[in-house]
Amino acid sequence: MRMRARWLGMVAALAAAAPCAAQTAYYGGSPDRLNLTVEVRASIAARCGFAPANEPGANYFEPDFETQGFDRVAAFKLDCTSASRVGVVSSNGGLASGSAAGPGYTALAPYDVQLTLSGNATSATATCGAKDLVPASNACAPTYLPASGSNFSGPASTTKGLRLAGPATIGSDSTIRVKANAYAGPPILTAGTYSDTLTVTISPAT
Amino acid sequence: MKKFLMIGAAVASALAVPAGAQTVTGTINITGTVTSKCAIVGGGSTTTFTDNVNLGELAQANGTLEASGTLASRFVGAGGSVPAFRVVCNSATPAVAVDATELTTGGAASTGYTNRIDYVAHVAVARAAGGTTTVNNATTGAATGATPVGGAISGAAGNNVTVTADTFTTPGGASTLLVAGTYNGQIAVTITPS
Repeated sequence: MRMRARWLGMVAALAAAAPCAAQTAYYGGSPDRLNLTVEVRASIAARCGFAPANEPGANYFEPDFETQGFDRVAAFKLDCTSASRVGVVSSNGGLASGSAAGPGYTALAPYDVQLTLSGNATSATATCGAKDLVPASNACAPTYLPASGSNFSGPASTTKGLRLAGPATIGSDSTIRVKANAYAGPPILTAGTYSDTLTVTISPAT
Repeated sequence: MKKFLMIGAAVASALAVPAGAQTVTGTINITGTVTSKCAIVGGGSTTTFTDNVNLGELAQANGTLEASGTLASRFVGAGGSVPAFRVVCNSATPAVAVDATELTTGGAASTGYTNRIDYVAHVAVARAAGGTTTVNNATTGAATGATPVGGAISGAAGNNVTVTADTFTTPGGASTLLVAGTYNGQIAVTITPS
């Protein structure tokens, strides 16, 4: 008896919520059940980031880079269920010493950044100078490597950054390469310690 | 009823997962050094520079030393231009040392004669901030030590180190007769980054 009352109560509640023609089901009667259709709507946002423990991250020390040059590659993995964009920002627009430089001298050394993205079935690559990877820049003119692709300065957004057209969930290696030949000048590089930081960001793409 | 509750819980869970929970930023740091150095621009070497100055006849018709002013003019005019070089140093505190040696034929001269001609060498270095720093060295004295330029050497195009000489004299005075022969001397200039 208690069970029947609970069942009828639930049916009554559902019937009240549904504006369609009322129908009553009775325990042991006919009909003894009702077919209810509950539409469930939900969305799952695209997952997009760097794979855990595989974010872009490296520390390079290049002594006498003006005579030796350098060529380094850092690997990372994307983890995006949709198309994505990766942007890179150079904090100094090149290797900078932060000291003042008189006429004929410079405290900013150029280098190039090559970004290669690997997805499940797609890939993308672009090469720009570090000087191009500053906010508001649209240029892409590497100094040492052949130019390819367009500007991928960050921070990444749905419309900004190098675009990978498809998902990347299988753990393929993407890379960021930094390269400079021996510095030829002019102007002359002043003596000192030079540094730059590349900040790599990722975003789902439209 | 249990089914309904489980579906509801699953939907709520899916909606609660933040899309940005993954790491979306990485950093790559690059550090490098440029050591202090000086180099010659142009010429056959990046570390040494050389020029040859021919002063011609050093004696007057009476056998005594040619007028100092005449020889000084020949020094800057010999070869068509004053000896000048382009040196670049990337440090803020370069220094210059000069060691001039007398013109001489070598060996000993007879009494009343000399085979030695002294002079004063001047090495002028253009500064990046403007102006020049001149380091002088007389052949009668010791070489100079490393003398600070007083700022970075000019990095502008063109020569920035100029060498001249004047105050030509002979030991014993102007009446001393010069021994015939070929006289050789040298002005050694050493530029260090600091």
